[in-house]
Amino acid sequence: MTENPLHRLLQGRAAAKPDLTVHLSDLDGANLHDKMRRAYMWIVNNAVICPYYDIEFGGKTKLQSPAGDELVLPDAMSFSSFVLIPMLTLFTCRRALMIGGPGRGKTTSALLMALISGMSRDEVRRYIVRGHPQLTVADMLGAPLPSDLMKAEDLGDVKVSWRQWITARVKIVDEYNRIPTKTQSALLSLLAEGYAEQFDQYVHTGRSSWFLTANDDAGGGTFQVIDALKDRLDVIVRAVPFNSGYLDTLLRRIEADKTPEEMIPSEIVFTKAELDAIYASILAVEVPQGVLDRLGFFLGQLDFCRMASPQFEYKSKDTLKLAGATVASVCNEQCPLDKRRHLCTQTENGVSARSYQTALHYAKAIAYFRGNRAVEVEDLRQVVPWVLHDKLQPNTRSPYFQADRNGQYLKDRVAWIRQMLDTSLEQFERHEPIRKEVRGFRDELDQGLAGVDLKTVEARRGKVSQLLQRLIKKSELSGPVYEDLLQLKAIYSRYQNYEQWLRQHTT
Amino acid sequence: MISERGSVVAGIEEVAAGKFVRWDPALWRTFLDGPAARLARGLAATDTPPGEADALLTSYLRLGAEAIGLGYLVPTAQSGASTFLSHAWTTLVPAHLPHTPRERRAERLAQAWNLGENLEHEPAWLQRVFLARLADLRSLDGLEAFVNDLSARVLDTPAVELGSRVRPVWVWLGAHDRWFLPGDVRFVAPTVVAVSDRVRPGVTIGVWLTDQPVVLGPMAVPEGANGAPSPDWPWPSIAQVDPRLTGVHQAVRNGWRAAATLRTSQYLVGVLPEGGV
Repeated sequence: MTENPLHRLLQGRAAAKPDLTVHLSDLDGANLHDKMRRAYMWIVNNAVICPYYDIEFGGKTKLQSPAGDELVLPDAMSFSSFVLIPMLTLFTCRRALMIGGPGRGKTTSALLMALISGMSRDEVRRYIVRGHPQLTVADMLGAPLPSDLMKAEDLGDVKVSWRQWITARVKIVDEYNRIPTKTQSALLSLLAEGYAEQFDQYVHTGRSSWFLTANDDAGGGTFQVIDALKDRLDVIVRAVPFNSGYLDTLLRRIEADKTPEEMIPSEIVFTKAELDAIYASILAVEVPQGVLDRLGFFLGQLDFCRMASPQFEYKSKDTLKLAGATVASVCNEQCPLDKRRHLCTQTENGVSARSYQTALHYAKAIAYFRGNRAVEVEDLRQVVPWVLHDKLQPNTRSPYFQADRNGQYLKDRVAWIRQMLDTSLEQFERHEPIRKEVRGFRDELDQGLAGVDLKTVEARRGKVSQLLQRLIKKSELSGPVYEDLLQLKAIYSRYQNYEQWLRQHTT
Repeated sequence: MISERGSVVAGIEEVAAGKFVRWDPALWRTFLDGPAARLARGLAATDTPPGEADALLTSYLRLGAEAIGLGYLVPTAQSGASTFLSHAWTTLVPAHLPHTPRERRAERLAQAWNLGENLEHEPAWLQRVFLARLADLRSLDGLEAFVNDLSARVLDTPAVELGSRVRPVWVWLGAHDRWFLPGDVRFVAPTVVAVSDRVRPGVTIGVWLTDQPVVLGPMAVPEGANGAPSPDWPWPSIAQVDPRLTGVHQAVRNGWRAAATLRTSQYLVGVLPEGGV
């Protein structure tokens, strides 16, 4: 029979065997992000009761009460941050802090991540590090056998018996704010550097995801959490309150006498190869220049403080911090910037380069999860508040928070940060022409100076100088303008240095 | 019959429940009590040796469980949806497998599965073409011929070209989507057109212009979809035959079919050669 194009539809996974049965091969080549979504749906439908889906995409319908309360109905898919953020943390090998009151499912959520990563329930139970005031470094990391210590004549003879959780793909630290400070330092070394050391021996954590839980996010509990440890945590996950509308689900769970962890289908358990493939695929997601510019525009202006120093380069909140001062002490009527418009007034600090990277990584992950090849601005809107939740401190005395209903933002970091990002997105459109000019100069410089002659360098430096003058004379010195001026000055300096070198070395 | 295989059934169910996110125990029970039981009775009524019948039935049940777990098998009464694999596993296989020659039963079962699963991953309109012509499939042995015939009818150029003697067919797209206002129309295959909504971007309906036109539902318009725009031919002459044809919005034709949307109508006018397709 002549082969027709559709004849291929008769070939597939099923094949007749000589014993007249049918063999079905495993389903392979299924999209990994499809598997990620199936895992998410199973957890949301069967394991974690989520009363709302607060990560929303698509155009939105807004319903407003007479008192001004707003309820948004998204047009596209929405997700629960309490499930999605931990999943993204699993796939990006990052570190999440799960916060909220007791009994809200923080540890359960972390357990589920460990189980879908392929760990068995026994392993997960044994490997959880439970914070308590008597937890020592040896308890947490492992120790040499006492007999080895007695017999050893040299440090090299002592063999440390490391705890197995250290090399697990998913690490769970329960109630990390109950770990004593000395032990926190050992934990910091693992988190930050990826290794631990005892008796001159080392153990490496390998690529892994971390889930830490705490009962409240103010570092309360038995011990204060050291700042360096807090700083290493990439994202916050807020536990969700229980909605009594789902009481019947709880009842069914009791009656079934089985926990969700006991019922995870093998279809949503990821192999190591799949997790590695997802990790690589997430990194390959494109971030368009426009998205990158908007992120930079937002975060870049947070560190600016016009009143921090008379020296132009030092007008940043870091300068204030080093002097022991706060933004609240200088952000007043003496600064000519409009506190309702400029974002710099709202925060006591800026963000580190690490936070930029984390925001981009999570944005890529959520884009990949949604099945997209490139990050959209909306992906940033959804993940940045969770990434910066604990990284940004509000300036509570800012006039911005005294106005209208803005005081509410002091109580909800996610809403506050998203509001700032939205404001900056509006401002970006107006500022973009200038930014494009600056980037044009930067791109030109980035092509290198090899072979560029003196005349060309002088001409370029002249154009940079003209833009510098235009900006400094005609634009209000705000966060974005400040960043542009600094960058232009750096470009100017590079050309200046190269010009000097050319003059010295050209006959 | 099925109850006699209790341990096999329980084993399949246990594996499926542990494997699939969307395992539906109620649908599994319905499947066991209905189609699976019919197949078991059908095999028992033939001269199939018990061991062979068991093996065949077990394969059928395993594949059925896989279909439920993957969402291929749907409870059509509730969902309103229909898939080829649902029809195959609930109707076609129970009815026809016992009457397929013994040495070919496993092969036909595998082919039916492969066809159903592959159609799940093809454009939805192609599955609708298969569902529209199910009446042509009268045995599992005829599966290959069925596929080849549909392939020829949908993807190949028809035998009869569009000449001067034509007949219009009227397809009411409003029955499928009551807000649909037909706009641009393009050929995606020699006898298949995709009609885009004039007002709502991205909304399309496909139509297979066969002797009894079949509405194929939403359809992505692939690049390369073609058809020479032909606002003038042969519409005036057709309007003489059928006075309903007034106010053409857009029209296309190829060597075998023509199609037009009208300015103020939810109908698509298809043009076929008179007397043959």
